[in-house]
Amino acid sequence: MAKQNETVLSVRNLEKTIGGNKLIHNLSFDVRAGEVFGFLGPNGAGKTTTIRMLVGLIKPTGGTVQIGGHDLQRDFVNAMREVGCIVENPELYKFLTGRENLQQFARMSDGISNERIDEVIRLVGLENRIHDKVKTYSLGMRQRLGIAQALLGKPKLLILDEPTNGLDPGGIRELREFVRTLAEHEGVGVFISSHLLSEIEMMCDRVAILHQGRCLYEGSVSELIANQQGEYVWRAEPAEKAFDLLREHPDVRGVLLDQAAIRCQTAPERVPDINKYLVDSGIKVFSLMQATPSLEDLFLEMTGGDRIA
Amino acid sequence: MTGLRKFVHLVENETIKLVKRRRFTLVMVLLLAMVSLFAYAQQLTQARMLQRVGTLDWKPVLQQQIADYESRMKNVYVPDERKRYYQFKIEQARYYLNKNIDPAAPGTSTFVRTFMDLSASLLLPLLVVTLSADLVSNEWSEGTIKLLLTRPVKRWKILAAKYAALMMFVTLTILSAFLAAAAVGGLFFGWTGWTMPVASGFSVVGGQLDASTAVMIPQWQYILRAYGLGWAVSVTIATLTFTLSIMVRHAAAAMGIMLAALIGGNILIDLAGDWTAAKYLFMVNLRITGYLSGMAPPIEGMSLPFSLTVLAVWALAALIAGFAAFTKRDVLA
Ligand SMILES: Nc1ncnc2c1ncn2[C@@H]1O[C@H](COP(=O)(O)OP(=O)(O)OP(=O)(O)O)[C@@H](O)[C@H]1O
Ligand SMILES: [Mg+2]
Repeated sequence: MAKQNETVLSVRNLEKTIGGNKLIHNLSFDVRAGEVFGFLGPNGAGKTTTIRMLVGLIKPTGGTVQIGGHDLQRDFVNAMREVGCIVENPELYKFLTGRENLQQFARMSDGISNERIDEVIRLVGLENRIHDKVKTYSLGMRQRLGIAQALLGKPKLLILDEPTNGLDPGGIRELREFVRTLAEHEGVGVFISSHLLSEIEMMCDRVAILHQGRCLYEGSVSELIANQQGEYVWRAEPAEKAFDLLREHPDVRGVLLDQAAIRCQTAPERVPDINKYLVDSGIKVFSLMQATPSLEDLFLEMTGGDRIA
Repeated sequence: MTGLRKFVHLVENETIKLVKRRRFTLVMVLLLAMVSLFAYAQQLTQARMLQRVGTLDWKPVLQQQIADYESRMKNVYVPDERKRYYQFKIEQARYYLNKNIDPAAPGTSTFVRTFMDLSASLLLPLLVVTLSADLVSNEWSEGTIKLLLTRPVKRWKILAAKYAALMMFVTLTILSAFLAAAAVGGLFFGWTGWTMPVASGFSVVGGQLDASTAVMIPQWQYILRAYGLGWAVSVTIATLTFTLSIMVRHAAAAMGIMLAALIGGNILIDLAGDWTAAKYLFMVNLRITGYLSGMAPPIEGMSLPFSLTVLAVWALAALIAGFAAFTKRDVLA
């Protein structure tokens, strides 16, 4: 399948305005082969709207989407050959059986054999119910069938919109392992949206955090976590001077002066040296605390709590 | 895979969906029920007529009809439009008498012919509306449009496959109408009459029935033409409904619009004698088999080529609008 580090999805300056409302602002990111990319945001952030643009369901008002090197607008057919997706709920034909549904989609792509259909059915563990009508399926079974249809064409890019919706804890765990396997062993680039940070944290290599249609953070998950573990609060006098010293220090980032307290980020092993430097510079340090907001705190802080966008 | 083979696959998909939704089954059941009802009613009417005239001979029946029409024309309250229609009927009846042709010769083939005359403007269009009213909108309301349009296939091809499947089923509906009428009619009236000569090609010139262009053709040929025209009407109605099912999100709304247009059209025909511009409305041009039998056109200046052109223009315009909307629209369902 795809080579490692090949860019399978490339989004540049993506924008969408519906009815005078700008829903998506200038979004850019890349997804590489073999990585799981998390797309995180609270309800109404614009995740689904973005995903609809990625798979050609709605037209962007600005920007470009490239899938496997093919421009989605100009070369829709070749771009779509490389994608499997579920947008919101996997709505399938209820009056057909699971297998008949897969056959419908197989006929719409090139060269999908019956063996391939059976293979994806086994992959998602639906062998026992595949000949039943979809209207008799539970939500979790529909999710599985949705994933099966997304995998049919051996895509380089898999786009999943809140795929854990309706899955039980066992199913969520299974999906997580499944997604990791696809990325690590088959080299698939997986783009996965969620409003649950814990989910993203366990599954993803990199993450973009979306809020009110704007990207607040894009980077590796480990960096996001490392940053957070390295937040420290100094209470020192004179605060202004300490603030300036910290700001100019090469190992310190994100320095904030909050009344008498100075917040900043740094690596834990640098803390004693930085403290010594402050003391040596004539600053009186009254206290030094490690501020460790959880990722959830960070997320809520970034996105303004639980307010719907 | 060649483009054509891929398109055949798409049509196969649409055919499977149409069949599995039981739409065509419904149409077949309705068709059979209506044909049986018509046949029963027809048989009852014939029995009545027989009782009244007191003989199986059709000549007295025809003479009785002429007398009937003449007495109705004497009624001062009958509008001129009606009188003109009676006049045509009388002239036609006289023509049949002179040429010694039984206009309602019993036998299934006459029933097959009458069935199309009766159903071309309302029953068949309604059946075709049931086939097509939710053909596209159900993909939106069920959310499957998201799966359908995220395949490596251009949108217009998906829509074209849907349309091709619809046209197949419309054609099947007309064929089934013929077979059902022939079979049920055979059981009720006997299996004969296919080669009976019938008069066709009457024209109306200046309000007068002009028999000079009328010719005798075997009834099966007449039926072929009538069912061809019925097919043209059904294709037009199916195309218009198809476009509505793209534009209107709810199948019930599309169905309601088409019902109003079809029934309204049938009423309008009786009202719009003086409103000549109404002839450009598609729903006024559906009694198209009337041109074969020499019925007065509902509005001056209408003819078979005129009606066919009006239907074709409406269908084509609808199709273009439908494809334009479908290929551009944002899928927010
Ligand atoms: N058809 C529409 N017309 C106008 N605005 C819309 C439309 N659909 C969605 N929106 C708006 O776009 C914004 C983003 O919606 P979107 O569905 O992309 O959010 P989301 O991140 O997927 O949320 P969730 O977690 O609830 O699924 C919302 O503010 C919503 O109100
Ligand atoms: Mg969403």
